[in-house]
Amino acid sequence: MMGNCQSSSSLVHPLRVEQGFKDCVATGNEMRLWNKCGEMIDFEPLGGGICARRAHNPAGKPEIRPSRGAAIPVAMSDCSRHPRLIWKARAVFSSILWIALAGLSPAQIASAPSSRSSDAFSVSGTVVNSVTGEPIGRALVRVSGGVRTAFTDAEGHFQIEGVQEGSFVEAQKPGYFSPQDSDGSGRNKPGKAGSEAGSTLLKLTPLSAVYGRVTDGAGQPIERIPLRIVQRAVRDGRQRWDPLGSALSDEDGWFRFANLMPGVYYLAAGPGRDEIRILAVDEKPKTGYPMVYYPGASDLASASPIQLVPGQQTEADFSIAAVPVYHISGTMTGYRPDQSYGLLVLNQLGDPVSTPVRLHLDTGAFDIEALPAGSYVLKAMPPPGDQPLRAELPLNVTSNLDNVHLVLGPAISIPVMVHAESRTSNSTVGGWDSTVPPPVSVRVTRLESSASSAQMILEHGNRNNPTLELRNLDPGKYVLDLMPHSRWYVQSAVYGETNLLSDDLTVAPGQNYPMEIVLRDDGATLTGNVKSSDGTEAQATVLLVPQSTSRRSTKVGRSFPPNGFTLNALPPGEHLVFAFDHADKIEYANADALQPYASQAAHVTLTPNQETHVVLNLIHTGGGE
Amino acid sequence: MAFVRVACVVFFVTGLPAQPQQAASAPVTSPAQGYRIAGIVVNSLSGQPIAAASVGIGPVANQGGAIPKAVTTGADGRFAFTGLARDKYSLMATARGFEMQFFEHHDAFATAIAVGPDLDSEHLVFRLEPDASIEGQVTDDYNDPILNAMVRLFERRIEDGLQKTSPMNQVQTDDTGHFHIGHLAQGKYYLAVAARPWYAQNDRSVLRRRQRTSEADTRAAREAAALDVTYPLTFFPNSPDSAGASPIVLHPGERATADVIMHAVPALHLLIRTGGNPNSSASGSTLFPMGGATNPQVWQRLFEGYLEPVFNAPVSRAQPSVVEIIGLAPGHYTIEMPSSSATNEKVVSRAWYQEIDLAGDAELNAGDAPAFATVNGSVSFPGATSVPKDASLRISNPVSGESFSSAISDKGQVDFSADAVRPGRYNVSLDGLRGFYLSKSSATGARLIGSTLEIGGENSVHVLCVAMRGIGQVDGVALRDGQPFAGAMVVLVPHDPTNNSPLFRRDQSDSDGTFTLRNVLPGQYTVVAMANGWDLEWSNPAALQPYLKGGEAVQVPGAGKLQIKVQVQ
Repeated sequence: MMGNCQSSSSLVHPLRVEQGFKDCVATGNEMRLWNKCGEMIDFEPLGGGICARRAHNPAGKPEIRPSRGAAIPVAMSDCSRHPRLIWKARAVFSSILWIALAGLSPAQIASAPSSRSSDAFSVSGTVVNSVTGEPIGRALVRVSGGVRTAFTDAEGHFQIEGVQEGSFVEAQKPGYFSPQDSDGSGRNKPGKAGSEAGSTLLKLTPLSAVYGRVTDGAGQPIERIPLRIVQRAVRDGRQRWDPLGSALSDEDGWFRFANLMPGVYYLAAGPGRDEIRILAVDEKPKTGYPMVYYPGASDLASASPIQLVPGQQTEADFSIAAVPVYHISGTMTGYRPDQSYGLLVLNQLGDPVSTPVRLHLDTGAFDIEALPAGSYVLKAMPPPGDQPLRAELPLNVTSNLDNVHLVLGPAISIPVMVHAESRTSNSTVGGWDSTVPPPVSVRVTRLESSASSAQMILEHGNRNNPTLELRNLDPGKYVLDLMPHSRWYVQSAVYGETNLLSDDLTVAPGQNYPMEIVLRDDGATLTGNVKSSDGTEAQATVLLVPQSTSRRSTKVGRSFPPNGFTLNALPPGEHLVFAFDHADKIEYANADALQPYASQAAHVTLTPNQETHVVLNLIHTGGGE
Repeated sequence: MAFVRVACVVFFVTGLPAQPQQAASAPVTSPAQGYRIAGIVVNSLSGQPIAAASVGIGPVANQGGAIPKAVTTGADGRFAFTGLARDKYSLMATARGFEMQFFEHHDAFATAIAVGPDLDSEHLVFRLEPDASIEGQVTDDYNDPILNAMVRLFERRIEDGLQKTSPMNQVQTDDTGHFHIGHLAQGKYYLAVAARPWYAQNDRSVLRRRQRTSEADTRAAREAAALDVTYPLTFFPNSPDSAGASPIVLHPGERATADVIMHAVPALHLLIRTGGNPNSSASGSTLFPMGGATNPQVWQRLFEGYLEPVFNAPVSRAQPSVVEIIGLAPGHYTIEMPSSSATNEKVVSRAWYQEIDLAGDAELNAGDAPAFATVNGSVSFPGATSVPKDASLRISNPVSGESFSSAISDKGQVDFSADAVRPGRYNVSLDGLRGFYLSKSSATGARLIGSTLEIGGENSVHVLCVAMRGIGQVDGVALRDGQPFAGAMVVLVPHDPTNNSPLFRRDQSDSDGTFTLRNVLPGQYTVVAMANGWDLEWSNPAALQPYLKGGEAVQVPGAGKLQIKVQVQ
């Protein structure tokens, strides 16, 4: 997957993203890039899974950080198409993310104090399993840029001759990922250069797996029961349920989810049907398997988490007793007769339930053959189109249900009015030209306990249609993320009576007013350094939390020694600044989650167009790896 | 009795308590109470009764419809249906570990149970064959597991009366390289594995990035070559060619193991100069997945000639008129460029195909590659006032699996010119029309004898088909030593069988020895019945020859039913 970036700016280059990360990058906010100076490098979603990134700082190594994975320093390599730009004031980074099934484990090749040709370096070392310390054979080691490569031998050794000074090496192999890196601990020691041929230790962390067997009350295997694994993770400061995979048990009842990152997972099985039985013409199934969360809970809240550490292979078996199933029937109205609709029954996780659903479009009558007791959502699937009619109906099944009425109605669309107020005197960076998309991306994510039904829409306009509109939303509650570009910050955002800087977005039928966003460009800049308790400079995740009650959008940055961090385009006002060693698991979108650390935060007052410098004390969370 | 592929309602239900056998010890039936079908379901391997097996019956005339009755066997494996009207019933059963099977089934045929006066339908022994399975491990040269390898399962069986090896299932390996294919019937299977090395880097554009010294260039080139590799489609146990594949002969209930080691070989690159479409917007090196509308498609011929798509060779488009297929293993391929039918593409590029033996990197000039045959023509319906609606003409190559269909226009025109029709032997048939058959058809640019269209080197083929109305039926009884014989294979063999394979019909005699051959076109035939012909290529004239003289010659008129008797051989 590679895109051609047609931008006139030489600072924008396409990022080639291997399979598996396309969606993450396309959302614009799930993968971020920092350089070693702690400045974030913006991703600009260009659509179609292609993102451009922008480098603001001339020096230092960029760091690509998939939000769910490890921080990965990636070598700065020359971009052969613009060789001269590299050493100019503004650098261009062009590298390739080699992440897919394999992990990455990088180390930098140190510069040597010698006047020899810059190609005369060599790097050698060992790739080891970070958990067991055992060498990993047949790992692929790449020098930055991906041109120079070597495989490790059976002892995990590799050697690459004639590499350029300052290059990075990285290792990959299916079944492994790169451990959390560049925390300054020097776990990945830079390789020595030239004839000295010191040894680089590259660590790869084994991925984990959950497997198990599904049996019925009599201990007999249940075949073809749907299984789903979800990960509980904190992303953008909020707890999320990420659906990671689905499977069907095999004829012996077995299932397996592999290549999982360390973390907290939940498993669900069912609802399902079991034993093959021939049914007579007027016979309906009487029993089935309910949806069960591991180990036997009826909802996610009472399920047991499965905690996976690196390399762990965990068995998680289900024993599911059959329960009665019920018959649901009713009518769907409000559809256009010339359009073809489908009806889906979704379970609590938002996955379609594989039960026969019959819909007669001539009468609108539908019937659903066999559902175990439980909570479901009946959803009409409209044909694709600009203005689809849709309907969703929660079903709480405890018995047979007749006369269920599903009424189709128009989907809700919210126009987004963006007012960009330029307050800078510099005429070359005036307001925003209304013929191009406004300098803000808007993302709404449906707030549901269920994972896979979470509807997410990202809107950033495009050249053909510079106006923003959130189209075809289902009624419900949404988290709104506003991502202003470059120098802009969000001054205010309202939807009707709702202040979107402090409250979630509630979408209901009948609303026909726009969302109004005011952007300003007189933001403040905050620079700083982070000191650990022994006085040395530390790497940290920096959170800037506005103290105005009407505003809760938190800004996140990374601080790396020795340059510290820089946060740009900050809204003026009172803020608390936190510097965490590990912020991955902090639900910072929830004010209560930060409360225990408030006494260790710094208080700053930001004024328009001003640069403020702070020195922060590192807050130990005790979390992390 | 022949049955249409199981379309009956089969359902998964749980833990139903074994229903008491209402009639397990019922008195002898009398016509007033209706007739009975009863018996025992046993494991064909062990002979042991199968408890909690689900058994269903439906009148034969109600083929493919819902099952009117179903029961569950008790602990003794016994089942009984009571109160049945005089009729012939299909009988089917399934149980845990036993995919649904029809009584005494062979291919798509089974023995139906006739009930009525003086017929014994109460002592049936239903031998269910336990499911077999194949599992295995796919590893590379270094004994590392290969995950997400595609494991293709082929079955060799008699299809339409000819021995054929066709794909029947596919699964992917898991992270440990393991795969499992369950619910297999006994038979002869072949396994092929397709995968790409996880480290494969077949796009050579990375090498165009110059290093700083020639020495570094040399090193980079050497290292890139180590990554420019692929896996050939590998047949169990260890062959890159289907001719070297070993069959996996599965017996009922067998759990076979088939491990495959994939050997990486240097990838070959095929450069195709398409010469066309300079307006295409493609620029730079863009990787497309296989199967794009305007990308060449790569096929391999397997076994008897089945055309298998190549899954693991990406396409790179370096320049608008140059396409590179990267990552091919050495071997024989069929490359084809379908005519671009993309709606927004104004320039329709020329469609072509090329058979090519690849032993090294190669170049192909699309302009030199042969074009597909353009097949069009007409179908006339003498005696009909207009062309029937929703009718289509189909030409299909039974060896390669290629099949093309063209709707018959209201003026009777058919047009296959957008289809990728290569030289070969095709069967011509009518789709969607009951009661019509092709007769006295002819062609220019190709040979059309009977219903076999043989396309040679000519590029332009015109067919003139005549669709006649009239479908007959041959009813009969299979006899051995003067007694009705159940479970015989019955074949209706057309005159000139070589050129008339679509005219063959087959059935299996039911419990009273009777059979029905439906949809028979008018003409001269021989009906042959065999007691044990299950491995016979029953539409192969040479294989049938010894049986023809013991068969029964029949002349089928335009419509109506014939009643015959055939001796079982």
